Amino acid sequence: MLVRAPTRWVGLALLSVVAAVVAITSLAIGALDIPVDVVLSSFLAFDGSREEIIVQQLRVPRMLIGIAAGAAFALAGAMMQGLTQNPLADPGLLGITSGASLAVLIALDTMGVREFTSLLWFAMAGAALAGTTVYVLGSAGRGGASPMKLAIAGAALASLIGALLTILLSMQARSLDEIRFWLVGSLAGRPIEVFWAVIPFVAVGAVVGLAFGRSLNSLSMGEEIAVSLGVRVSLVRAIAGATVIVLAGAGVAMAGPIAFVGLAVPHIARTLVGPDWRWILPYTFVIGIALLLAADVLGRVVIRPDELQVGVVVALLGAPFFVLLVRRRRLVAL
Amino acid sequence: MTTKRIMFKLGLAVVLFGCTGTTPTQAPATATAPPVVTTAPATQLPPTEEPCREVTHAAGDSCVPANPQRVVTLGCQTSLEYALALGLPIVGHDVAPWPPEIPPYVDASRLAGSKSVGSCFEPDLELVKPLNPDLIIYTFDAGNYAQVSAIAPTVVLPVGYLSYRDDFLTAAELLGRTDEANAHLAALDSRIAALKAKLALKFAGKTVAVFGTGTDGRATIETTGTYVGELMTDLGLERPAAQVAEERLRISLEQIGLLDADVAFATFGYTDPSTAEAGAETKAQYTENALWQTLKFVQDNQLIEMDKSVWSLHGIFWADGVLQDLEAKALP
Repeated sequence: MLVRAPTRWVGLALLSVVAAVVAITSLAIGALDIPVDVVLSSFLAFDGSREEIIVQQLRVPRMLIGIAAGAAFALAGAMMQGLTQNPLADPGLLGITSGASLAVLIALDTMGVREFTSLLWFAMAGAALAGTTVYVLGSAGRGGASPMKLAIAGAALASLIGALLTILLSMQARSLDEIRFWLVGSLAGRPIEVFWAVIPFVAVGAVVGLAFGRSLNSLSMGEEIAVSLGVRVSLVRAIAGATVIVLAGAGVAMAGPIAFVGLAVPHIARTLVGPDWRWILPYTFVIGIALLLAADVLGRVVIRPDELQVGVVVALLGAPFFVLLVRRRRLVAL
Repeated sequence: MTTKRIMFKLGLAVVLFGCTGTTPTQAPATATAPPVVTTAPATQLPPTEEPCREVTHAAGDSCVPANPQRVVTLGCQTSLEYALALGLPIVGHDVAPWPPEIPPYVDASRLAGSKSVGSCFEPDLELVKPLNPDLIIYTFDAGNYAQVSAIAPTVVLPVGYLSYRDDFLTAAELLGRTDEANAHLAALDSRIAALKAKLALKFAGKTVAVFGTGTDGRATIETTGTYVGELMTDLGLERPAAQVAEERLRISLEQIGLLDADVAFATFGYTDPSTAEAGAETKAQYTENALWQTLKFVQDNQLIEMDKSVWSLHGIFWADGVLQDLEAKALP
């Protein structure tokens, strides 16, 4: 584990380099391999060849969306874990991603909305509605919102929404390719406009989220101690909850409900830097980007000329990796 | 292809032996069947001793009557087309869940005596029963083989969707109609030869890409190992090297180079109207992309859009549908 502050800075810098290398690799490797010099010349001396167009019009937007989605899902997961004091939390747990998915699906399928900026708002609204519902349900009764009650309310709502999604899909005479494709999670085929529409939300969410280390540290000592330290617990929870909703909503809107990143990446960060949220959050941010981009690159090469969607790759590779992580060393407690 | 066919035949293990149709499900069906006017000389035989052949098909064993009088086809147009081409008397058929219910190339007058039993995704078995079929031809087992085969002897065709000839001949063999199938193919071959001569004048020395775009950002290349690909080969059309393959290729936009050729026959989207918008979006992802302009057939203005409600289907009259569409679109 990286304990001293200088080592942690070096670790963060190294991970950032890894993320940058993966990002550049994602421009060169795909369903079609493009030599690095062609990738470079597409930026420096664009001459309109097919390969240069692929880099500029397909891979650059895809890389940018991968960066935004990786950061958004990972950070949202870390915030959820800190907020609920639950090591198994991720945006899926409180029904937030499924709420966003259901809203997008209703918009796409039932209402015929196809414009991305509208879908983005549907995703946000769905995430917010689900998150608020869980919070209200989890706060009811004695003692207010406890992590356990929130988790149970979230699990219940998530399975209810899952059932509604299934109903919606099975009512189709044939379940639509595009919706199934979207529900698995993919970075492919999104135009650059998607990135520009989403980046303000991810940026605000990331800035607020990264600034939350101290507050999450206080929360992790227990509500009473946090209060005695002068932390306004409900305010912290409300802001952190809103940040999760913005990040997860944006992530779902641009890439579909990609699972696992939000769950696993904070744990990877925690094995590196221990239980200090001020370091977990930036590590999560960088690892999330590297992991999602790496999974996407892998998905493009395994079944050429077709592509495996990033959501599938993350789930297929992530799950055994996560089991290994849990078995090799005790997870650092929250 | 040859080995594939042999495997098929071995797998089928068609056991031929006569047996008398005295099973409880069959006897009342034949007894209550109203007289049907057909050209088949089945009336020479007493109805209770209708000879049948025991066959092993894709979903089990059935005794197929030698001269079925009341055939119902289930599983979309393939079984319907086969039954019509093999001269079987049809009293019921299922239809596509969206228009056109019957493919445009099927002569509707031949279905005058046949009733629709509902969408081929969910045929209504309560409509099948009163038709008293003595044979049901099913293209795929949608999980209800037990219920379907309780109504009448059912043959589930092992359609492989790789070769339209092999699939048709395999079906004909199961149904005991190989001669009819060979006659149909011989007639088809002469129509293919006629069009081949005309196409050669225009497309000799040129490579022809055949593909369709779907609804999820991908394109499907009809390689030489598909129904369409086989027919293109029969027509003497030369395919680009990337499209000579045993299996259909699904590609993403990054692999658009695999579509390149001198000429392209393309379809965009699916016939299901609920997929129209998604189909239009995927089409736009391809055709409104700068990459599209790097393709030779686009630069030379040699893209020919084909009728997807014909090219995307399967069957045997289907081949004639493609020939007609090709002649109309490519040889104006």
